[in-house]
Amino acid sequence: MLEVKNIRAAYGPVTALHDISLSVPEGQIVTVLGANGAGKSTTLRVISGLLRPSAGTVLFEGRPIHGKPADWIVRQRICHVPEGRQIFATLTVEANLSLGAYTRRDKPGIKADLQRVFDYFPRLAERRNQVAGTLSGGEQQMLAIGRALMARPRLLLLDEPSLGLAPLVVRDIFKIIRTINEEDRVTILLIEQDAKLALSVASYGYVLETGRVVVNEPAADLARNETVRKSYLGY
Amino acid sequence: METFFDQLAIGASTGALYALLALALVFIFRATDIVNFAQGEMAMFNTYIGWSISRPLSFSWIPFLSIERHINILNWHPEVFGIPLFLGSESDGSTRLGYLLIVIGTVAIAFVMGGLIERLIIRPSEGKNLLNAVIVTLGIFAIVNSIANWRYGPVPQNYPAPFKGNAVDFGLFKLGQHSLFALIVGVAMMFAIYVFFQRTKLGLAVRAAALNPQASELMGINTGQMLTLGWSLAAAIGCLAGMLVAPSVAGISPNLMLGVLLYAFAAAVLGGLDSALGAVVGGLAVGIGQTMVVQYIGSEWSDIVAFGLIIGILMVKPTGIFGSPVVKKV
Repeated sequence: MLEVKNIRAAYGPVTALHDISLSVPEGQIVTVLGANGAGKSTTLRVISGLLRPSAGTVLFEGRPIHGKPADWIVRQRICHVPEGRQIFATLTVEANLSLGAYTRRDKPGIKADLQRVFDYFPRLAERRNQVAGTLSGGEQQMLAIGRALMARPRLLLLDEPSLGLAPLVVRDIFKIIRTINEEDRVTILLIEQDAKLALSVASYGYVLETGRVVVNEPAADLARNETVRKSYLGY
Repeated sequence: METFFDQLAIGASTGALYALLALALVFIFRATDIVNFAQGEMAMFNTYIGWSISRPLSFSWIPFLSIERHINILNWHPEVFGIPLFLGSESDGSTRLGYLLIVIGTVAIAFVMGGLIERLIIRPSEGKNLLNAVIVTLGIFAIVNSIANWRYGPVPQNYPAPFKGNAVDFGLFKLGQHSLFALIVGVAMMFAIYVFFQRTKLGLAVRAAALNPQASELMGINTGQMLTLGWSLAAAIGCLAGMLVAPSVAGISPNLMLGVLLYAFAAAVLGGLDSALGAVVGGLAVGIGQTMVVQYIGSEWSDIVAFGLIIGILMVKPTGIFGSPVVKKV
């Protein structure tokens, strides 16, 4: 579904991605592991159009999408839940969710999807009229994911959904991520610092180091891989 | 006591116009962090465009045009099947339908001009330093003022108004017809602006783009278009304010909006530069305050009180009454 081929990208004079290639087959969860600064978030930023790659191609269903503006890419139903959640802190939960559906015109469909998001995250339903900045970290992450779901994505890019959250909340969120993948048939590209957790839901994984892919294997093999275990799983 | 309520009503009417211009300043500030010093001059120039349209337009320079060669929109009395499309007219022959058409046309031109200024002048000068764009707005201020002086001259010209009759007596107070009209239009515009930003999808998108441009792009919002729209709306609102100000002063002149802009600034700072509610409350407070100062202390004190107020507020509460505390955007 998504093919990233040999992309290079830089922030000004600093090259963040040297040569990244990865592919995400339809219907699967693919994870990208790596230390801070390895280029995981930058890879997502290139895919979602926030950053223009200096070389390489990104194909979505065979069509090139690299270098296209971010708002165009959302219309292809590729949705990015960014690092740090980036919710609209001074707007209400409901306003945040309706902005997620900005590209859509089908009112009944939007209403149904809002209900579905509230089914996934009942806490958001309780706080629908509350200003988003007053939510807890976990609720803000739920809002960020819910907001992306409002665009009815075909490919969901998740950047560190567990960051800074309590273990119980993380478990809930990953349960929902699995449901989104299995029941809603949403393909997911997941970046996660908790490698064990990521490999437990993913079918395939990539390990990045300083802007390059160093290992790529099915998730089950990655979990057994000696170097991966030492560097990222900690046992 | 009668004069007090009269002054209160006049102050509210003036304040509504300050509030409109202050709202225009707030929109642009919220969306771009730029204080648009050219807001008043853009409004003044667009108001002149309205004045030009209201003059008899001559088409005698077009050859072979056998139909009417002079069109006066302001005095237009159209009929449909012999029935006049009548919204009332003034003793000088101007009609309210003609006035309405001129307003619609002028505001539309202002809307387009505001967008063009953002696209062609502001956007290319943005980026490196916020101060650049602010200096650019000061430049537009000076250039537009000079062009108006050169093109139209410094002498104030009569400006059309739809209601010029005697003051309306409300018992407690009397208010001139034009002031009443300005107050009603001002309040209606504020309501329309509120509905646009709070109740429509597009208005929500404009707010989102101002709050967090990157997250907005991830929602599929074209943030560049939202900025242009913000400038267009600000220009249109300013233009409407200008068209209401001109008849209540001596008429239109290149310095029409200088004072209004300063008081609108006072209003915006008083309310908090990033607060729409603050702009409205600030506008009314400044308008009423100014009228009272002129009535009870003396007109020479009007500026001193207004700007003493700005300085005082900036010293005591830099964010204004309704402004949110300054948070550095990352």
